[in-house]
Amino acid sequence: MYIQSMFSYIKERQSTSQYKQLLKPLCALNLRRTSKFNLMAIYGAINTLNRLSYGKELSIYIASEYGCVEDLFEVLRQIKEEESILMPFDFLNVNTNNTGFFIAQALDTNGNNINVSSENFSFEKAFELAYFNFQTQNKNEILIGAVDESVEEIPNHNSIINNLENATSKDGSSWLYINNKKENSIAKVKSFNFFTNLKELNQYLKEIAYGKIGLNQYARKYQSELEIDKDLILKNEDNFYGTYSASDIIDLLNQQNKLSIYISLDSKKRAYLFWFEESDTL
Amino acid sequence: MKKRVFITGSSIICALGNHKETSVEKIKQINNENYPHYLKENFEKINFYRIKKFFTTQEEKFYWVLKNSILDAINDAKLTEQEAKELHVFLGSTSMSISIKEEEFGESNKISSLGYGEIGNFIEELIASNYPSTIIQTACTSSANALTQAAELIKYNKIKRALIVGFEFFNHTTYRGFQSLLLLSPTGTYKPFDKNSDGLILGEGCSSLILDSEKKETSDFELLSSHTCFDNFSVTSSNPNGELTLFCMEKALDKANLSLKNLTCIKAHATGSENSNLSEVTAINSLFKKYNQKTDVVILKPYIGHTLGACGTNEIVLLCESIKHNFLPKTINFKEKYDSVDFTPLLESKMLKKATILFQFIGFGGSITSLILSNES
Repeated sequence: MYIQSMFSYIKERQSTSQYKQLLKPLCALNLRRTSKFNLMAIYGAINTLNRLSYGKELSIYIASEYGCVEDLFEVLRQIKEEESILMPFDFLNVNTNNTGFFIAQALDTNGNNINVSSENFSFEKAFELAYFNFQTQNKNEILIGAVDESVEEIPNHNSIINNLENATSKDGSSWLYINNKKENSIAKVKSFNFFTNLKELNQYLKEIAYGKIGLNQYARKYQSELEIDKDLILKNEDNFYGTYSASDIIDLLNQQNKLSIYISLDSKKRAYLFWFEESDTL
Repeated sequence: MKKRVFITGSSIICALGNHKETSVEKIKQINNENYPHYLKENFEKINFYRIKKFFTTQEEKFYWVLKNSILDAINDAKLTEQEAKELHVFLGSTSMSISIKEEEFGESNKISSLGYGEIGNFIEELIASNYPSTIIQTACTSSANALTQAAELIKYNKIKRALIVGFEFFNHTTYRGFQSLLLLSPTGTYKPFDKNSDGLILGEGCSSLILDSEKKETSDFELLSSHTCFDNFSVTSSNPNGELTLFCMEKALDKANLSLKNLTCIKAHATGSENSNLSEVTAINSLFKKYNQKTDVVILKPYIGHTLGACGTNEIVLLCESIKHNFLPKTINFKEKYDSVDFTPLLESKMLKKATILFQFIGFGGSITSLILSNES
């Protein structure tokens, strides 16, 4: 399983019209009524596959912690005014079920697409399904995205999201294109595992070699309980958004280490571990 | 070596009743004559199939229904406390907890959480699960896809046992959204696959399934196969030619090494909206013509409404339980078929104890899922 391409776009909150401007030169679709969330997702997906050839049956996995935020609040405001008319696209956008459809149209693909979420582990869960399906379903290529809008403008937003370090909440759209070809790849996914507790994780960490470590916010919180060399920990960029682990992984892989790992924990100290090997060394 | 996958426990709370036994008994009782009375009992100010229990708040309703559905399914599967902890949780819904967010925002202009992770959290804590939940949103195929993803993990021995929950609760966003799309039936009666069908009627419901690699009872249904396709015709409608729906059904049959003659019936999606109806009847008609063979077509939405993302697990529970109670349910309120097709849905209930069923689900955003369940040896 080889990572062929990566793309990450993380910015302080931008407007829907700014994303439309970004997409204008890249995408001929009529995106007039679509949500900011969808625009971010399409922008990320298109840039990831820019100048690459891929199959029409490309499977697309979209992870999100918060879902479609700005349209949700707009719809809640409309619903509160009982006499207001809810427009069809407002309703469709809120459920995020149409994101994969628009991405598939933008990429001209007809493979399956799926939206996945999970508290603190949305990207990890999407990756888990993709990783499994890649191995067992004869899927030669997959596109996995992690998309979340900034919630910075929501009053007391840190009380409704998990933001342990009070980081600035940004817009983020981070993507990996993965196939079974070693040629021209960035890195190989050596393994991807889940552990129900830190004891199991630490046992596994003793068995593998790695040169650089990325940690999610909970892994940083419980760092003292991880049996790792603290000097190998990569300092995270200022890139906090809902599914930031995807952009952390991209940053980690951009460091070009022979072997690297990324550890995601949640509040219950359950763990996902990504293990990568740089392709130049394969 | 691949494992087999069985449904060893289930539950449902819907417009028919708050337990699966009650729901199946109610299906037996409903007929074309008393159907208008059944609808009148169900519909209050708007045409919507409601869960019949009083709750003070949407939040209370949401978590009470979820909790009771899950615990009923776990009891049905006779799981020990330890076995329940080892369940991997998969959730499927279109609107998730928007009903709660509407209520909160209506009262205070604020919401207490973003995203839907708190739903998974609630369930994990309820059963003391060791594993983080997987939440899937693919519109009306959500819970069907949750089931198929979990089943594949069991089949390849990645997990031993799973809890699948499909849920959909009344919320103004969804109701008014479908109104604005002009998809709701103005006359308020479901006419599935009927030439004069004038739209769909929404419903709420929650159902839970326990999947296991070992069956517990001889009547347990086994998942023989599944296939998912993507139709890029339109966000809200299927390609009228029905080709991808046909393809999806054929792939599911192929993967199960079955032909049409092995099926007891097809459980159609049959939303009631014109485009969706036409596309699906065309697909089923094409399937019958291509293989010169027919099978019964069963439609359940007149009983519980269109429960969107939850319709996967809801309709699987209702039909499988009906079979376990020795009958294949008739389709209600059908009068006239489309001119372009040669079949009608099942109009009289049939007595039988075992069945092999192709379940068909189609969602906004192009998702199509076909899966085959059987309790025949």
